[in-house]
Amino acid sequence: MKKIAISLLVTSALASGAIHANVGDYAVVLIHGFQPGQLQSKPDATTVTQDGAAYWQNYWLSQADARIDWPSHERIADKISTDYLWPKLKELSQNGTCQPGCVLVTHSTGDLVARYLLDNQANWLENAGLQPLNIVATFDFAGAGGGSELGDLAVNIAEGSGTWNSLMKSAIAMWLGETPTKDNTGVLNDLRVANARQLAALPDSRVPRIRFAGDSSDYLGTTSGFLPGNDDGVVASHSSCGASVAGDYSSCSVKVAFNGKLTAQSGGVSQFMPFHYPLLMGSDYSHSSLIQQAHQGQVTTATDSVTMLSGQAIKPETSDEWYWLNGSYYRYVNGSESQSISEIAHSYL
Amino acid sequence: MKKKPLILLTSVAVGAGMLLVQNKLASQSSASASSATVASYEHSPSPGDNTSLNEKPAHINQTRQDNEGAPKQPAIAEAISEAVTDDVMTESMTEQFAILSSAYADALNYPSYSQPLNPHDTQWLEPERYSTVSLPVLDGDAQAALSLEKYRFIYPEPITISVSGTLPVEAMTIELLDVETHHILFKQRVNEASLELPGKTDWPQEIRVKATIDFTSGTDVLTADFHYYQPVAEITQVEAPSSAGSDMAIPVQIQVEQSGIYRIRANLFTQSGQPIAVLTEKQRLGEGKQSLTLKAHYSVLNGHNDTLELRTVQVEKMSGFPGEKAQYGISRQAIWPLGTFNTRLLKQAPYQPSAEEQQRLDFLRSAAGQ
Repeated sequence: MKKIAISLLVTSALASGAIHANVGDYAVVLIHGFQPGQLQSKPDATTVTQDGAAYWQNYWLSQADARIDWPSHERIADKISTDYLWPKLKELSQNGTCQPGCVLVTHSTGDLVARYLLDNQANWLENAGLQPLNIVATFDFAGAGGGSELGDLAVNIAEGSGTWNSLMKSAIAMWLGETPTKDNTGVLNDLRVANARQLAALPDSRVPRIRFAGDSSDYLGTTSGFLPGNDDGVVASHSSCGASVAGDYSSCSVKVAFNGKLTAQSGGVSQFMPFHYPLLMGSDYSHSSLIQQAHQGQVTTATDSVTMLSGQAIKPETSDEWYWLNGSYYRYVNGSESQSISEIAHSYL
Repeated sequence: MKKKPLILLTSVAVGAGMLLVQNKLASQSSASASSATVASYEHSPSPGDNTSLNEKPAHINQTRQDNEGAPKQPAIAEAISEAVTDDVMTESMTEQFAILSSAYADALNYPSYSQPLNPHDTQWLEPERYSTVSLPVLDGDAQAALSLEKYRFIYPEPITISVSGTLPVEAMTIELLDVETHHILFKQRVNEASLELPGKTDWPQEIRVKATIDFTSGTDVLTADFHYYQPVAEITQVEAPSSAGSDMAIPVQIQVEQSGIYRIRANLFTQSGQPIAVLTEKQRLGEGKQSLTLKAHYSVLNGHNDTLELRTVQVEKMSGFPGEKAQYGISRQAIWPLGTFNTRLLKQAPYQPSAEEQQRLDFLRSAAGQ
């Protein structure tokens, strides 16, 4: 794991209220996503930790200072909180890891786990006589905070649906590695769209949730037919972009497509969950490849849709207006011709 | 010949340009291959999106005509220049973070306890909104959805369950299940597509509706989850607001059945229905008759001298320790009139972000190179 250089000046500046920390001063804490195999294996705590390390091994493991690992066969507000979140929160608080500030890097269901953490960590730690964690921002890759319709499908199948629909059952079995039953749905219950969107929906702490979304599939597109709008094979863009309402969206932006083409997106997200900011989109990045080191094509920005609380757009249109009016233009982020989306994100931590 | 657009590249070297063209050609060929694989499975792009998925600029491989009109392969340097300057623009990450930091800085003009609302702020305006999911039924050619009017119900509110979709419903058997134990709490067969049923005091918090639906062409199962609570507190009175420095202070009386950390939220509206702000107060409350104060900062009141009222009041007993679930209470009235308020009584002292909020802004600004 990366060693952090924590400045004592930053710590004292924090105490005095005169903070001016730099990018790179913050500890990176990883929160992984759903791991389907754990529904059947129901791992013990040691295996959960091993699985958590393996989850991030491709790239982020060596870039982080800490991880919060959790088992997919449990529920977020139950055992995931009591047996996995809580011990880690106490450890991070007691060690002072996040006292100068932490950035949470989440993937998939880790986005939802993080939101539950953000809403509750201060109460829990204060009630235990400990200092709440100082969380500066989150980087959410393929965020499932808005839920996934695949979770709804899986639970429905477990409850008896899909007798006549072998294509649907096959798609879910491909995703999960098995057909779900009532005894092995675990965190899939939290991932149901209605449940996810109501779990700690509106935290008080105004932590910026920076979103990174993909539009390719690890499952040959077999799951995409069950997800509304554009998707990364597991979560639809309404979730990965952080849309305030679930729906059928073509992009995280109303002005640029997932592949960078500057064209009006009537199906683009225009309203976001509080403090959810879409940053990068990659049409060739899938649910899993968003957190990997391998370069998967260029990425574009979605910040055109970021607005002020009044609803007014931040970015003036004039610099791009010619391009929207005059044919096929594509916009990519500088450096994305060779760097992966994770490498780009990490360079700002 | 097409007029070339202005170039907005942040920096280009010929060597970097060559790499760009090579990678673009490579990604285009791999994208074409992946597009061919995916196209047969993926759903259609949503209406209004005239961009096909994985489309890449086709011009990269086009030849360019010289003055004599005969097609001619351009030299590599020219091809690089053309590919880099034609139809593609790049932007810096620092500029993107600058946009995010501007948005966040704007939000920090308002305190967290008093944030402005606009009519599109669905999550604040409809905090109990039920996210209905339409799913394939039978052989997958038809879709249906099981929906409820909201996500959280508080005793003694009744529950209304509805089925909607592309197939007519002949009848259905509705079961309510305890999600944790799978015990059946209720079961009834109806010859309709909807059912209203009363709530009960012994229901668990998390309940699953399981509908076994007889469509005209077959039977299938749909489920939907909701939460049901016994009220832990009740807002009994909201008093007329008064000025408190920069805030319009709204005293709230609450009868608490279970002590804990309470988060009260309410939306401040004009009487004519214009949303102004979402007000939040979090406080530890003991059992019995308690009081707290919702506050509206002058920055959200913006000279509003209309008749005001509170709507969409949420009473939440937050989780106090891991494993404890949040619980909910009720408001005796759905709407609490506040009368008019003279905003000129308020001090115009700007909100000062907390140390943590300032640090978050500094993080974004640092990423933006500011």
